[in-house]
Amino acid sequence: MASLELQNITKTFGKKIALDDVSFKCKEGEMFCLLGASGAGKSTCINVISGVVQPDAGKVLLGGEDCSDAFPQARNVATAFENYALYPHMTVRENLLFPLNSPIRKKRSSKAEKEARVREVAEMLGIQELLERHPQELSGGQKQRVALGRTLVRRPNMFLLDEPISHLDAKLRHRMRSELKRIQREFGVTTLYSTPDQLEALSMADTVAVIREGVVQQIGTPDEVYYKPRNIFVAQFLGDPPMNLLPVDYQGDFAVVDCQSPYKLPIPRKDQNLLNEKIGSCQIVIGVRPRDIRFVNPDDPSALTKGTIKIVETLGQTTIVNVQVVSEEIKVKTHTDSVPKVGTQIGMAYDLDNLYYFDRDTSLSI
Amino acid sequence: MASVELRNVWKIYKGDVEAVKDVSWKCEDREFFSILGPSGCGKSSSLRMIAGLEEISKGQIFFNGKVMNKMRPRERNVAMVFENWALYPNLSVYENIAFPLRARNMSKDAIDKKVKSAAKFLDLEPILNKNARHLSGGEMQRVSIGRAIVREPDVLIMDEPISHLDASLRARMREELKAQVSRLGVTTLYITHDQVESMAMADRIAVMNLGETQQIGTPLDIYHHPFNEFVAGFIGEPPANFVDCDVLQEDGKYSIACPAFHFELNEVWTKRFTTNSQQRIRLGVRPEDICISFIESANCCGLEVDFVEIQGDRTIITLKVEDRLFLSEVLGDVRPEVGQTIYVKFNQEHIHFFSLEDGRNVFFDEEMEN
Repeated sequence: MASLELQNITKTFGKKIALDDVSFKCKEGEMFCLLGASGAGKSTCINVISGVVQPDAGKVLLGGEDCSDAFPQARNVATAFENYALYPHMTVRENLLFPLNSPIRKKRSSKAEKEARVREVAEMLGIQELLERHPQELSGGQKQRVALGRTLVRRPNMFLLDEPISHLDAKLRHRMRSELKRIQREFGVTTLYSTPDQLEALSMADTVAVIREGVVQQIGTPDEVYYKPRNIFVAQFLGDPPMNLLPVDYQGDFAVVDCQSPYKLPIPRKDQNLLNEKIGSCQIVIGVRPRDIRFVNPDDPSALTKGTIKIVETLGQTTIVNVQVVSEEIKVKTHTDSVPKVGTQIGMAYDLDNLYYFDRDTSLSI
Repeated sequence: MASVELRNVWKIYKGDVEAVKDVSWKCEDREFFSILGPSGCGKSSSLRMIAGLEEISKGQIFFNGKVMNKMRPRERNVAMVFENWALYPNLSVYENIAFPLRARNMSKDAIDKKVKSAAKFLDLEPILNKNARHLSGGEMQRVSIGRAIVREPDVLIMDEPISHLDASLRARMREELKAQVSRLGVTTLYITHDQVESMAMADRIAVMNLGETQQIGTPLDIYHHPFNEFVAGFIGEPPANFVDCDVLQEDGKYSIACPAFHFELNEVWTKRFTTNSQQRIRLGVRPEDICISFIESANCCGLEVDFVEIQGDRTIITLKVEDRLFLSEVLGDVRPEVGQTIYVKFNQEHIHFFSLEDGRNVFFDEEMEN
């Protein structure tokens, strides 16, 4: 096992900057997540670590040693790809044996040792009954486990998983999340995985790096990136549905929301102190998570603003509601029992203890 | 516009493979009706029979009360929206939408009028001349719908239109699709394997498994009152938990016991068990109906924490129950330690009991009465 460090990695493809001065450190045995939309640079980053792509500048350190110039096979990094890349004409056993028979490993162990290793890994992954099957006879989740197994047999320094579960069936996705994490814990392998799905990032990672257009936006624990987003992008990327953003004019005790029907938003005292100290301009943006908005009677004194129910999405116990406030839309996540009908006039109360504040120009958190 | 009705429809492929078994339901005029099930449940075969792409082995399909069995696809006036949108990449948005009309030899003026009105409706006017290959996902979706509605179909069929998209995009598309379809007011059959999509968008859902309809109802009816174990396990994310239990009776009081826990039932359940006595039964409980506490109290059960999943505004805690795992969902940032014992209570208003023999919800009728 080894730690991984990227130092100021930059990579361009023609005019497009895929990675722009990317630095982060992934501790030994840690599960590290690269979270970003498609095209953010996640796959390029993984390819740089495995050595398939040469960066224009910067260093890759594995176990503290600079391996920027080392060939991929010398890095002993195992990659599992999004589409599994299993050999369709080989059985599961042959697929698992494959990396052990590569030219640089072929002579290292006897046939019996290799077989034993395959059996050991298959047992840990619960695929021992599938060894004689071909990939086309496996379900998505089983293929996933075989692909993982193939990376595990060679005892790699670290795992690289490129979008390991995003494309699985909805039902399977949840099971694979806890399963992957369990496997990672059991083997204790330093693991870096990429995903466009914020839930996958929050639920499995020890550390999350949010990346956008080749630039790392924030690195932190799941709780940090969710509760203390560094900027508007991170705040909106984590959380489903995304955080509501209200441009406001901050005036001390309250802020006036800058929209077609302006309303006052009382600001809690503790936040006032912080804002008075930190902000240069009164033009800021306030973020409210959909979960932190309650429906009340439009005439209720706690109603800060009024709107019309536009779209209702029932997801079982919770419901997501889009409320039209003149020309703007506010998203609310609420308990299904308290959802009004489409077209109803409704008042909204905000949970003022959980407001987020951002600078309007830099979009940084205040 | 039309209603769609399936009456005892079967699809039997060569070698006696029964893909669809005796399916009957009716989708009302202008309804958003979803067919939901895992792969291989028969939803695609059903859809192909409705569109006329596949012969009906047994039974009848009606549009507006008229038998469609012998009608050719083009005579049924059904429009389809596919998973990959299937746009012509080398044609402009305008030409893509106009395509089905040109195929019908419509006059130039008539086509122009129809395309423009569809474009206006779907907010596509600014990009009418753009090449289809340069569109964003959302734009492609709208063009695909535009192409489907421009010939004014009686029924719009959508086959997994958004299941393959990124999670965040999926959520946005869901919303847009629903808004567009409800504005169009066209009868819509929506096929998917993702229960979240059905729940979020459909007026009613037909849940299918192994070729058979399991339950038909509104999203909330199905969610709160599953007809059988399959429906209870398929609807909801994370899925519901199940464990086999003994039903114990003492002094007119009923309790539920399995090796990992036992708890007393409330009055409502006591009454139900009195009239319908059971001995072994499968308890089903949704993750959000397991309330957790760090302190022991009356009628609660202590369980060991196996795994903690952070999900932003909610936390999923996996608990050990005998040789299986129970998932519980808690709002907020609760962070128990792995290995710690926490105390749970089940929200008895929302628990269900299933038969060990056939998986049926034993008290389905009683649940629906309340």
